[in-house]
Amino acid sequence: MAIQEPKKRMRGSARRARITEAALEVFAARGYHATAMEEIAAAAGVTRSVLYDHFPSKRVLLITVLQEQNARLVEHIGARITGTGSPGRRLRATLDAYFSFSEDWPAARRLLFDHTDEDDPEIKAVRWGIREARTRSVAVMLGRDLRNLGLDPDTDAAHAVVELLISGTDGLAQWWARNPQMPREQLVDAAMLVLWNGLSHTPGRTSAS
Amino acid sequence: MAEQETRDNGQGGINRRRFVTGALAATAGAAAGPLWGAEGARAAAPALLKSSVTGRNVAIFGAGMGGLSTAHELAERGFQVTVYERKVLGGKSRSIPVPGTATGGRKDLPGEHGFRFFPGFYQNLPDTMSRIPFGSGTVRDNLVAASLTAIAYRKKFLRVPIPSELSNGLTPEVIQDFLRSAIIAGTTIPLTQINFFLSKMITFITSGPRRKLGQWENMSFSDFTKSEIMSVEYRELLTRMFTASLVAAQPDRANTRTIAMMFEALLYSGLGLGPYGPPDQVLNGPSNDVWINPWIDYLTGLGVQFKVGWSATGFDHSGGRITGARVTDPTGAAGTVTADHYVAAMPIERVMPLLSSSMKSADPQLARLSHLETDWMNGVMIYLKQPTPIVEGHLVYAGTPWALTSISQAQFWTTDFPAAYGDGVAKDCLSIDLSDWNSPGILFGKTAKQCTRPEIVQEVLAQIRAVTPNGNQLLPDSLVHSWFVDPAISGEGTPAVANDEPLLINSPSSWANRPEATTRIPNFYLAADYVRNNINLATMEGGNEAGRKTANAILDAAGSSATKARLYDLYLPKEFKSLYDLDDIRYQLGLPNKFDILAPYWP
Repeated sequence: MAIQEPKKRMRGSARRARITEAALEVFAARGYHATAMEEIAAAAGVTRSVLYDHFPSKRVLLITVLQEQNARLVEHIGARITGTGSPGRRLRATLDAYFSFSEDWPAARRLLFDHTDEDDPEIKAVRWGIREARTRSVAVMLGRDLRNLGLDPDTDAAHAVVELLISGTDGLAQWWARNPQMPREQLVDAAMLVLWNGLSHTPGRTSAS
Repeated sequence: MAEQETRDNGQGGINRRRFVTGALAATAGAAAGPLWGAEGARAAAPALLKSSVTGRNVAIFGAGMGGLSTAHELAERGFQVTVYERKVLGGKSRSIPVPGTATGGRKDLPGEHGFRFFPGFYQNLPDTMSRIPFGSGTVRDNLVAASLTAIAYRKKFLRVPIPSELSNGLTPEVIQDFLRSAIIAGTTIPLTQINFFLSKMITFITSGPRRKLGQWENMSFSDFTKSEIMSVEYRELLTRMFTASLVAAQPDRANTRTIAMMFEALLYSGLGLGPYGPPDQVLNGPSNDVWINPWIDYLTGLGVQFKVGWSATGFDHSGGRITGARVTDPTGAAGTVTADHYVAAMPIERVMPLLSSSMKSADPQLARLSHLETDWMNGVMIYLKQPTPIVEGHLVYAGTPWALTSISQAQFWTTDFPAAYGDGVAKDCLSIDLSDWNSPGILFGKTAKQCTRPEIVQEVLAQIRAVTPNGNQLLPDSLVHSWFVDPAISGEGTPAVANDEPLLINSPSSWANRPEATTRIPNFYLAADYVRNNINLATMEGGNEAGRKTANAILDAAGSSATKARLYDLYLPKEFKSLYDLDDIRYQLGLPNKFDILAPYWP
């Protein structure tokens, strides 16, 4: 691919972007510990010294990629969710937004939420921040609906509901990665069945009113 | 009479409410016009001073942070304090409700112009707050930790991840590594420039006190960080954000000692070092409700008299002392008030015109006050129809020409916003600080000073949307209920635009022009943010610290044996003690700091 590009001097920022995109793929495929900087340099088509001109260490590179992909996730979801419509519609739009992110950026989802075994305080802090921001945005989005359920969004019970929602959705995204034959719409339907209607209700009946 | 009424404390303050003006009314014969008859007061003042053995009558001019803090320390120690305030109690820290917005028994919409930010490195002010009763606790309990303070930049949120522990102990190199990865991860600033910036910041935090004052005080932050030759992103995120956005001073007008010290304190507080609290704390309600009013109540209970609508117009200086303060009362009538001690607790631009040439020649530091500078940092409230907590804490909109910052308030308030305020339709307040009034905006190409109020609001919204992820969806016009631009601004959009409440900035070498709380006029004191203080920033904390210094000076002057008000120092890691010592030796030898290796600055 690089060969077909017109010969021009690649700007620093373009080269940096290429490095982080390559790093995303490699980190997501192999995990942090098993990845070597040489592999990333090779995948990005740059020399090792160019890589080190931008990122002084593997750790810093991972942190960068995590932050970038989190920003991508926030932007992706933010552009697709809706603040209006019925609560059911809003939940559906959010689930669909998350699954479409998994579909469009599978490596990003894997890196953000599946690999979490790095033993480094700074990486931990980044991961904590990402997780916290996500939990929080879901809690805010569902604030009104939680209140309708009689749950104050600041209580532990509300946090538990949010956690269940997030980890359930995450688990479903992982399952979908292994069972990609299922269309996204059906996946959202399945999630709504439990998350919205609840197990005790017959599917199809809009009961949460 | 004076002696009898100035008997010492013990039984609580309320019955000790002598105020000099009242005592003098009798002398003056209570003629028509102002109660306290100027002639009589002038004549009586010297006699009163001599007869006043204990010297415990204090007149404070200005009821902002400096004045209230002075009053607090002194009233608790049995002094008789009268506070004169030209405008409203609380100064720049007060709430400014939007008049006429309440319906159905609610309160007017709350306006928190220049939102209250209590970083973890404030120590004096939280201590004062812990001594103001509130319900069964204190006002200090109304401070809540905000988290996830963030920066919106080029449609992304940048957050600085704070590790719970530093992996290899506290050394300059460990700090540098941590900051390096945070900046690399959050920005696309070239690594060489990041390394340069960090070498300078590490240079600062390992500098000894002599170098800080002798070298960094005199250098602008833009020179220190060489921002002119760096990338746009470097200028916007590393230079302008810490100056224009946070303290309303352009990078070339802010001194390095002030700005880098704030950076250092934020860093230590973020890392959980020292005695510091969480890096970002806010009040859990409008400032007046959860802080200022309970404070006034408490001080009133201690016997402090508040005279609102009374402006000081000058001080009578004779025989080496202040013998009276000329004032106008709420009707505009002029007169003089007297006391044993006179405290000028108004901001710099208000105190300057009151200082006579005889006062300035008595104390040259008063003459040097004219060199201190102010700039504008005023608020715009935008009321929203839905709760919209953009982030859970303060948000800096980096790279916005008007240097905007904001906080979404309803999320922190214990009251149910629509039930408590306004017409029930407004559900949140986005409190925005506008810190650069001189740069052209993106919508009209005009500076904030050149815009009308509606234009200011449109421009502010446009700038926020331009840098915030999904900004247009997040803050559509349809979400806006109403808005309120700081009423201190007048004549906006005309050449006569003015600001009644500007903010001190710490320009290079300004320390030399900043006064102590005490002056060479033995009964005249200064208590405001421009007084030399540890925090060295124009802040509520600085005003509080100055108030403590003044109170201590008055305790000395009055020969009081009461315990002094405590002054808290900023935290410096003991691990770095030897580095500071070494650096000051290097400084005195004319050498650069040992970490200052990339284009070093020689003393």
